[in-house]
Parts: sequence; C-alpha cells; structure tokens
Amino acid sequence: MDTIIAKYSTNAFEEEEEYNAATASKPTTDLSFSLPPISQPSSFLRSVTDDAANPDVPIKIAHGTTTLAFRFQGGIIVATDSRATAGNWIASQTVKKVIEINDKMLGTMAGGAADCQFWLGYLGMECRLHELRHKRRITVAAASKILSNIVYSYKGMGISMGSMIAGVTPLEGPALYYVDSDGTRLQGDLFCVGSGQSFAYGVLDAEYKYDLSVEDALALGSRSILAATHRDAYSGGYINLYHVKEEGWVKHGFSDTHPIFWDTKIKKGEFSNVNTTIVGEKAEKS
Amino acid sequence: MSFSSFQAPSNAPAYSFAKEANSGFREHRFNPYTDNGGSILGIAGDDFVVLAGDTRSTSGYNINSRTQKKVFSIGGYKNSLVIATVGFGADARDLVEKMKRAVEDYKFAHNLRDMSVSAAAQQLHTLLYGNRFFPKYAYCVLGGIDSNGKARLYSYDPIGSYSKEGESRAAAGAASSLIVPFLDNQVEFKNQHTREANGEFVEKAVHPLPLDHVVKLVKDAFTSATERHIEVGDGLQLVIVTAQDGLSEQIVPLKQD
Repeated sequence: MDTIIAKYSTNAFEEEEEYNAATASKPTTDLSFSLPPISQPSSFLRSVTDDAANPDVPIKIAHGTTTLAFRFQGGIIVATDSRATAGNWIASQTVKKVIEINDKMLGTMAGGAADCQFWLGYLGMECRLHELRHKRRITVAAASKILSNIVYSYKGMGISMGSMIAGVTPLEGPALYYVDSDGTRLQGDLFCVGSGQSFAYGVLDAEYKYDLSVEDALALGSRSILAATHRDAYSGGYINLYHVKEEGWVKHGFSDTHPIFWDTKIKKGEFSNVNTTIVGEKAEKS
Repeated sequence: MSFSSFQAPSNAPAYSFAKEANSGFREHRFNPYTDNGGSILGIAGDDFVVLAGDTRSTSGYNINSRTQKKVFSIGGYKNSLVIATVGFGADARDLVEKMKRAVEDYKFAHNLRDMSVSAAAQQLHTLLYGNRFFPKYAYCVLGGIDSNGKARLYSYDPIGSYSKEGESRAAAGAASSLIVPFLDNQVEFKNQHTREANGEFVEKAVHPLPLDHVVKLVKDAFTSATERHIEVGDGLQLVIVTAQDGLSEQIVPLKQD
C-alpha cells in the first residue's frame, strides 16, 4: 500500500514540477535573457539599436535627458526633465524619470528608458528582500552597490544607464550615489546626468550652497533643469521635482516648462537673450 | 536541378591552378527582422478603450496581405485586455501568443482570478525586457478596463519601457509620426487655447472624450495616414472595449492603392 501511495504521490509532485518548468512564464528572479544564435550577440545588438552610429537602425531606444540631484541642509533635491527621443523624433514629453524605489529612496533615469525602469524596479525588489532578511532598511550605499554590481556584470552587452540613487537612512543621513552602466559608482553632494548635464551644472554650481533653504533648493533644482531644457534639444517637456527628507520623499510637482520659461523671463527678467519679437524685426520701443 | 558540366559565370581567373580568390570564412549578416509596416493607435476614454490598426502587411514595396489584423484580444479581467502590435509581424505575434499564455497561467496560479490590466502591463514589460539582448522588433499598445471600471492604456518601446500611470492616447508604427501630432492636438488639446471671460487666453482643459467622437478621430487618423503613407491602407480594424458591453470589433475599408 505504501509503495502504491509513494508511487502516486511522488509522480504527482514530479508532474507538477514538470508543469511549472514547461508552462509557467519565467519569473523576474531567474533573469535568463534570450540571446541571438550568433557568436557576438553584443555587436548584433549594437547593429540594430545604436542610432548614434547609424540613423536607420530598426529599433530605436528612447534616449536623451537632463537629471540632477544634490544634497543640502534640508535633505536631497531630485529634479529631471521628461523628454524621450529616438533620433530626432520626440517619442514622449511625459516620461517619469524619477523612479520611486520605495517610500524613502529614489532613482533617476538617464540612458535607456527600459534599462533604468527594469533594473531600478529590480533594485526595489532587492531592497525589500534586504528588509525582510535583515529586519532593517537597506543603506543607500548598499542599494547603489547592488545596482552597480548588476550592471557591471552585464558590461559590454549594451545596457545603457546613468542613474542617481538618493535616500535618507538613520545610518548615513541623506546619501547620494551616482551609478552608471560602465560600472562607475560615486558618492557625492551634487550630480547632473544626461545630454543636458553641462547646462544644468552651469546653473547649479553657480548658485549651490549646502545651507540653502528648502524653498530655495527646490527653486534651484527646477531652474537648473529649465536651463538645460532651454539649451539642450534632447531635453524638455515637464520638470519633475522631488525632495527627499528623513520621513521619506515628497513630490513637488510635474510642471510644464513652457509657462515656467515665460514666467522666468517676464516676471524675473532672466533669459533676456531671448527676443519676444522675431529676429530681424525691430523691437517696438515703448 | 544541377549539371556537373555547367560552369556558373565567375570573375575568378579561369586557370585550374589559380589560387581560390575567396578562401576563408564568409559570414552572412545576421538579419532576423523584416519591417511589415502598418500603424496602430489607441485612445482611452473614461470607461472605454479603442484600439485600432490597419490591416495591410508589407515587405519593402510589396503588399503581402490586405487582411492581416494587428489588434488581438488576450482575455484577462472581464475579457477586456487587448494588445495592438506593429513592427515585425512574427515577433509581434509571438509576443501576443506569450501574453495570452501568461494571462491563462496567471488564472490557474491565482485561484481562477483574472489578470488585471496593471498586472498585464507589468507582465508585458517583463516579457519585452527578457529579450533585451535579442529584442523583439515590435511596438505594443495594451488596453483594458481596470477593477474600478475605468479605461487603462499603456504603450511600450521594443525593450519594454512603459509608463505605469498609463496614457490617454498612444500610436506606433510606420505612420506614427503622422498620427501622434494629430492625437496631441485632438485628444490632449495641445497648443489649443480658449479665451476666458476676462479676455485672457488659457490652455484648453483636457477631458475624457465620448466614444462616438473617439471613433471619428480614429477613422480620420487612419484615412489621413492612408493618404500620405504607402505602408498604410486596405482596412481599418477597430476594437472597442467598454466596461458595460465588453469587446466589439469592426472592420472599415480604407483605400486599396
């Protein structure tokens, strides 16, 4: 009798195992990627996706960005634009480039949109698992290192991302790290990432002080992104503003750059290089 | 058929002792994709989604089919999940098949609960990113009704990037550069202003559109794209999903030239 039960019970179990292996769609955690059946998968990938090398590639990955984050007396400010481009085509003006890893940590998106979205989402899962395993929140240092170790293990395979991880933990206080797909991981007070980074640095470096008030810090983050959207054609759309505090992050709006630009020009008298009349036409004297 | 005596024309010298001109390995370029043209679009109302695609399938300048559908029902919550795909037809169909299977598997793994639109949206992201190093050449738009009876619409790039908040309109494919600006203007009211009572101009407020109006917009988008894009035409497949009446499909003829 036992042998009969054993026979059927093991069989039923094995069948279930077999069913899972054969039919269940792959879970995120096993991370097995499909590869093309050729000797150099990465050069194939480049030949079909690298629109900088060849504008006629069939698969255009969304690119182009300005993102910034800086540490100050009141926590961390994180600000981004919202434009995604594929070649000269504006694929979207409403991309959310700040990724909410959990209620106390943020990541920013520059480079491949899907790469950032997938791996920062995956990082969110790893951070939650860390909390469950160790009964305490993960440090920003450890979280950023998980991310940099992952992308470093895929180095040369075509992943493209430049990300900032910002968070406040009891151990570190406000902490900011820059991680990119080359494997670079830096701790710092101030970073700008993306095609418009130098324009943002220009404004941010000039006005940045650690002792900035929260209000001034938010305004500086916003103004730096505005400067970048003005001079970098690959940046634009909306300004996405966040403030990371000890209690967690707070969102400070997703605001259209167009009215902000004209407000900044007309009410504050900045951008005086921009004419309100067409060039060549004489400005009306009043 | 082959003849041993037949010599194919060749540029190689006709000496038997001449060195083989092309010795060594020669690898053909690995080219697994064909662009099958066509366009898709989706618009979400308050409690309905419209997904549409033309029914032409092309390869280069050849029209291979005039009746190839691009919008597919994949079941899920109240049978409301629909996917529209363009790009390489084979990759697009494979994705749809895999999504159908994932929706089915989800049901058996979750006590016969149907997959929600937001879960399907995340599933499609994972599926596409699983092919990160050998991308599926397919642009997808996913639509459905959520548990509150509200319409949801998501769009993806070929490696899975999407907006979790969803969108009010999405278009992809050969004529997307013709259709997207039209949708920006007619659905999001971009660059449209209204004059207030005090004489000031303000941006026109965005509001969900009624179904009959959306259907008109979709037809206008496709008749116009057919006029100006060679890969668009033949037929327009319109799939309407509503919270009350479920799924319905209609085919509207487009120009055949």
